Amino acid sequence: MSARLSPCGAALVGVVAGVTALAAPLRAQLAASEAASVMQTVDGTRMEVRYSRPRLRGRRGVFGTQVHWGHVWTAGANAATTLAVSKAVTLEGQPVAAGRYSLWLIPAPSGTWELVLDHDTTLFHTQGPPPRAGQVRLPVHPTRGPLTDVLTWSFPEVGATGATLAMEWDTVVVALHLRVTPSQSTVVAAADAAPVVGRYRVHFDFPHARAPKDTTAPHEEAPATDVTFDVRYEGNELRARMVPPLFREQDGYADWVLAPRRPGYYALGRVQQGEVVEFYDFMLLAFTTDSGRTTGFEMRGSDDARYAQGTRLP
Amino acid sequence: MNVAARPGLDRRAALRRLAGHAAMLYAGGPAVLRVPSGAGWGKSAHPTPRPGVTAARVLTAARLRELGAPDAVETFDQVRQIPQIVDGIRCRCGCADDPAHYSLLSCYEGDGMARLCEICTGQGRMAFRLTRAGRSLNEVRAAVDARYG
Repeated sequence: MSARLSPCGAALVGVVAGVTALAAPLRAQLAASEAASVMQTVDGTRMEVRYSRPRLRGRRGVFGTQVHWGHVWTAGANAATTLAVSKAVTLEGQPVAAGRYSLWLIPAPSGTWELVLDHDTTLFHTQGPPPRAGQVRLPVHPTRGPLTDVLTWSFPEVGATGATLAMEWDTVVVALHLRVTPSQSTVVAAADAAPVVGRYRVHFDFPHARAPKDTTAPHEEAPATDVTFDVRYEGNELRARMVPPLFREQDGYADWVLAPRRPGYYALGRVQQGEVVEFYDFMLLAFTTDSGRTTGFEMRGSDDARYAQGTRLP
Repeated sequence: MNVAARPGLDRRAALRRLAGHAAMLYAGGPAVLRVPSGAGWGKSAHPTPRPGVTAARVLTAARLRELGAPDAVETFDQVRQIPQIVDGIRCRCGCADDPAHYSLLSCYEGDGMARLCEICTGQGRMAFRLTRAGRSLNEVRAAVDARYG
């Protein structure tokens, strides 16, 4: 007797086969420690951690028990955790060249652990690399934190010049301080700075500030129009203080740095809490001279529109 | 005003808007603002103004309005007054690499790409401003190179 399937039976077999085919890769994707990544850009430097995230699953005190003291551990699971930086950075003050590294920690019962960056990014978590040339090794100091069930890498602090990269698991936090290579120099030679140091009266006149106001739009503070601008030379930089600040309703618009862009031109950098947080490079400042003496400056956009004029005060 | 309640205000963007950058971005409709590609930067020589060159092919105010760029009228009018100067300047936005492009004046002719480019606009306005202040072509060229080169 021949076994022939009816059209309905054939269709059912097809559906079952299709579901089975779909289910197989889904089942294969389930992992006890799921893959994850976290990325942060600071001043054009991209920093990324790729890792798998083990869970405590009811365990407590994994460090010293499941993660053994003195063993090279990848601070993740499965394939080695990796750290990639697109440009040279410093990690806890140590230089790290651009590239991708496998990232390892050597926990210790004392207060100091060791961090290892290794060029081999193909290692499995059981293949902790031995000390070898080209590694970055540095001491790190874990602290106690709130209970974290799933191992987490994050960038909890981000500034204009760097960020903190943190690993949290169980009640342990390892914070790593990364500093990027600044993309824009603010250093000015003393000879270039001397003629422009002084006090200026500045009038801002942004073309569209004169346009009729949209009264239905949310309130938006207008920039100051008349300020004094004290330029000083400090730490190889031209720093300036604006009174009143360009904006008053929010802190951080009183202190500035003049960043050299091209000979004779400077961009305003906004300084907040001692740190340059952004550059206003859509307008450049050029000092004007008369008989060799700096008499003032103009700020113009790349379309040559004048946004501000400064006049030196006696 | 409760400042703390509005920590995310981007005042840099607000200033750019007040400066007119956003307006220029959209002046040409869906066209994308041209930004310096770097391809045309450097110290390539400025062209020699063509004898008898005129501003006859510089886009008119009416044409600019048709193209949705009324904000560009003033700059095109300025360039129209100094064709012999603008024809002696190499545009530093990168468009000078186009073989059909002779000088900064070319940016204001044809499809008037200067209406979409703040570098072309800036060079044209600077040339007009400095020429009106009595500067020579060579002085204008030097100023353009210092700012945009």
